[in-house]
Amino acid sequence: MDQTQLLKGVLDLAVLAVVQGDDGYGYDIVRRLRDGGLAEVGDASVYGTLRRLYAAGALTSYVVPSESGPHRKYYGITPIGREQLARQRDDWHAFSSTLDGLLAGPAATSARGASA
Amino acid sequence: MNTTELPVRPDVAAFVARVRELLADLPEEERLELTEGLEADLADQVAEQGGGALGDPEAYARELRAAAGLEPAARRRVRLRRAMSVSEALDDARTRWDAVVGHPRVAPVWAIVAALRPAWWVFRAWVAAVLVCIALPGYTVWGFTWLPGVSNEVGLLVLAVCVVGSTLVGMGRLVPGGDRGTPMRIVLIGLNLFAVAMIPVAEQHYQDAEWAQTREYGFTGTVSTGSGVTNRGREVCNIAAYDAEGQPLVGVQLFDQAGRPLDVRCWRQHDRTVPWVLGDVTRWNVFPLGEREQPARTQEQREDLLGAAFPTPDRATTPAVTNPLVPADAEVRPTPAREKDRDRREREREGGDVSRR
Repeated sequence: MDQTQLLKGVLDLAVLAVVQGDDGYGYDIVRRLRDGGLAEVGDASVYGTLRRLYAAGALTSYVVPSESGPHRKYYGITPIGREQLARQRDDWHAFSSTLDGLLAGPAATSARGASA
Repeated sequence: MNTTELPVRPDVAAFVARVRELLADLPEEERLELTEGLEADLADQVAEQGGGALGDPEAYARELRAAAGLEPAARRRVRLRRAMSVSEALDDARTRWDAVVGHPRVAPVWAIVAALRPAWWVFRAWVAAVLVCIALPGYTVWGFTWLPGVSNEVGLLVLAVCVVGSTLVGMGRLVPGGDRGTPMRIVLIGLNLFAVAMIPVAEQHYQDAEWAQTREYGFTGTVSTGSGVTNRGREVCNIAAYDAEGQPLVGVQLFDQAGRPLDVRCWRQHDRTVPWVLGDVTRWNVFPLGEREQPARTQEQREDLLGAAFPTPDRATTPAVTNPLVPADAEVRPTPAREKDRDRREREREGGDVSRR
């Protein structure tokens, strides 16, 4: 299944997860997500998500001037962001176990359907 | 944004500029938030993956917008952007205009023009009133009053209403004057342009009305009001009288049909002519009036009669005339008293004729 479709609902969660330990700038965060296995994540999607999380108060941002090039905008998690992360993590676990259950069920269903 | 000390790669800079352009409908702050640091991020990406990492800026802007949760508003924002760009265009034009009239050389002139704004309010009210009067049922061009085609009272009323309305709009107390919203600004501009465009129409109807009056009465209202006697559109300054036998008369007193002395008056009549006197009262209805060679502007000059004389009649005699009302035996010299009476009656008629023409 197309990863981008799946990502839509959980990109917030993924972004919060990769900045919870360490602040990062836009492309740095993209890299962390890709290194973590989300190879198809679009950078524009990540930047947009960062902006949305920032607007929601889940992230803080600050600009670090660069000696060698354009300045970088760093994002760090806020207490609101941590709460959101914790809540969404629980939601995700609940959702994924539900889906696991469904995935286990339909296998039997399809087996029955095949035998019918 | 450009705190960069080293130039960004041109392809990255162009890409970011294009993306910013595609987000131009967003509020400035939001756009800045969304694209701040984008150069650095994309520069990193290009450094890692090569120039091919930059894709289609439109798709990129769409993705950025979607991820930032802005897409649902995208369509509405497009419409909003159009409305904003109209109002921005108006603001823009206003700013440019202010810059022009604020120029040190233009400003003093513009101050005068701006002070005359109420005159424009009244004038456009008149234009509107003419249009209203044309639209009123029973419009006919029958003469100039306050407005063509309607009676004095109606014209004055319509004009008063229009002037008050126009002034209130001008002062911003009446829609569309006070509303600074884009639609009302456009309406206001449109109405003013319409008024300018309608000036020739109003002017034409004014002319028509004046012509109608000229045809009907032989003179225009504006000329007939102040001045004395008009003959075929020209002022009468002096009168040469002849009796029925065609002999020139001197000392003919003329009165109109109501018994009022004929008011013959030209421009600077008192400077140029010498009146008759009754005791110490000057009489200007006795003809011919003496004429001066040089205009006398002061009382002293008027007392000096040097060079003043009765004008030479343009002909020594005129053919004798008859009238059925005058019996043939009247040709016989009547008694002095009766002659006086008859002359008086004739002169009255004559006077009436002249003033009516």
